[in-house]
Amino acid sequence: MAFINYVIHILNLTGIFGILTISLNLSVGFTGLLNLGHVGFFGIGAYTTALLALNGVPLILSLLIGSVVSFISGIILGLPTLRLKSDYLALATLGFSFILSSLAKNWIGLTRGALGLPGIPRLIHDNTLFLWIVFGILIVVYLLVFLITRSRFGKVCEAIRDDELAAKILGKNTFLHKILILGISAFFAGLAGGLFASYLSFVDPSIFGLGDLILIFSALIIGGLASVKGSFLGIIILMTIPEPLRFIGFPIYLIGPAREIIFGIILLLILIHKPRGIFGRADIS
Amino acid sequence: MKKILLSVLVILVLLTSCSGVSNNTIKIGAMLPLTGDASQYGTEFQRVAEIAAQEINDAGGINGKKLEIIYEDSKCNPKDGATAAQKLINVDDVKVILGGACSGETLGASPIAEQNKVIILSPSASSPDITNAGDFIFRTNPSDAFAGKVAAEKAASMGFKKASIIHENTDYAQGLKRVFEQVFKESGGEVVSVESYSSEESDFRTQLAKIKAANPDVVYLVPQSPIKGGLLVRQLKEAGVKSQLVMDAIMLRGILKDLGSQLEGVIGVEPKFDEKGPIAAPMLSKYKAKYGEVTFGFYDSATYDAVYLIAEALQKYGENAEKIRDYFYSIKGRPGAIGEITFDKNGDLLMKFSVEEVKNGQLVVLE
Repeated sequence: MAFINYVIHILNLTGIFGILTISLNLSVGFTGLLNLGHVGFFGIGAYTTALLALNGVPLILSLLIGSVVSFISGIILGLPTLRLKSDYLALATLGFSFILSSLAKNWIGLTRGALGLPGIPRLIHDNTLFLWIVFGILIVVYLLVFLITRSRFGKVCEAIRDDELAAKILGKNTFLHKILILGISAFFAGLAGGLFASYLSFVDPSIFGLGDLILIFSALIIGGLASVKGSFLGIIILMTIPEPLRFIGFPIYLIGPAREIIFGIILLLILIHKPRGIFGRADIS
Repeated sequence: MKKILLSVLVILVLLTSCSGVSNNTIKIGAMLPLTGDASQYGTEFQRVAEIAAQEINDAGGINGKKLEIIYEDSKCNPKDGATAAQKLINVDDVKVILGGACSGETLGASPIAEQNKVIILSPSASSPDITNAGDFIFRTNPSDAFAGKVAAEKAASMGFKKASIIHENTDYAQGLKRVFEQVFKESGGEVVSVESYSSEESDFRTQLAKIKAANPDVVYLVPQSPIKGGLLVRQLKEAGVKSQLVMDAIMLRGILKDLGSQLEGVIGVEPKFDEKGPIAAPMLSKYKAKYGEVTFGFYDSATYDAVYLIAEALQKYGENAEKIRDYFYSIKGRPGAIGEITFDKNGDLLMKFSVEEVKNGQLVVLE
């Protein structure tokens, strides 16, 4: 019984989505930007890495370029949209994800459209070694994000979340802070996307779908906004709880829906018990 | 609060203990979209698979052991497809997996199955990419490549030189479009315009105006659903396009009643499949009696055949995936619900296609 292989697979996905959730916390939790474009950055990283790697660029370099392209697209998205407030920003960034999804489906010459890109090279063939790499990167990202949030720069971001006007009055360039944090957050999301594409060896436009956006937002909220360890714990909960549910002997025609329902109930119970999430320190206004 | 959590836990434990493990079964896996947009396919295939498994077990099972299918929800996306495959292969230790229904989930699971030497047999993944997905990857439905090829060859043989294509932006439609384009060009024709639309759109006038301007001899329509097919034909006529129309005959059949005379002369291509065939008919009527309306007769038949093929292989070769693979490659002209089953060297199902034309509101077989 190679049960451990299955666990390693789940941990690999958890690690990759952990990087994605922690990076989302930078923009949403710490800076208060209701950024629904995060799967867009994830997808940009995935597609850029995949396309470069499939055209012979070394994978590590592709991953880096993917992250940088994602960073740049974060800045580009930020320039026109960061003047918007909360829910308007949410709509604009969500539109960004939809546009990218459309691009991936329609720019057939580049992305092969809905057929997706199969045969993306693996960073390393063995899943166990892949896990070490993913967790190595996760720890580095965790520490970097932790340092950013503890820095002067991070404190200003938190001030922007709590009261942007006050931060402005104190002479802080809030726009610059917001755009940089969105870029950094996009950089890590792009890195996660590249790892994801390389791990699955396949990417298609479903990567821009709402499913994963809801997943990482739930992880963020369950774990608590503005807490790095919260995001980490949140994604562990979201990725691992559905798995034991596979072993419950539901009648076969209920397997799919019943698992989803129980999963939803567990999340609800956690939120009733801890409305701000497990380690939450802030609310989204 | 603690009481609630505790009671949830107790219920979960109780439910878990219900699933007994018996040594007298042979387990196979199934990954299907059981929730989400594509669950309509997944649930229907699941029911068909259960009907087949029931029949096999009633007839004595596999060498005296009962066939048990373990289902995982692969949600029509590569990530959940990969996870479902990992779970079925590493936890349940299955050697054969039925599914997925969508091409994306199948392509996500393929590298894992290939690496672990586990067979994947999909009843409905039709992307041309599955052809090269691996040695252990099979399907009991034809690749989109075949239908596109037949349509292009027909158009070329009718003497048409200039073709336009309009297709929906889905993996299925795009696969057909690619092959049509390639084969039509190889046959000496020219593709003068290619237009596409997203699944949410229902007004195609912009695209159709471009097609009219390109003035093709023949227009190849690739909608994902009959409804869109009907809209396309109607708007093409309204735009004044008089070219020969070619499309999927399964779609045509869905709109024949509503559009009637407007479809006169349209050419349809579909795999040769007879719902009233000796194996398909009893299965479909069994389904109707138990669950009501059948939506995907063709793919249901493919699912039914897949379960029977798996059972047959397990009976002959036990749980030896390499031998099962070799056996599948050797299958030629085996009768099944979808017709004669023959796998080619890539694990694709070879099917005969029929070319039909709408005459007096009826589909008439040309060849």
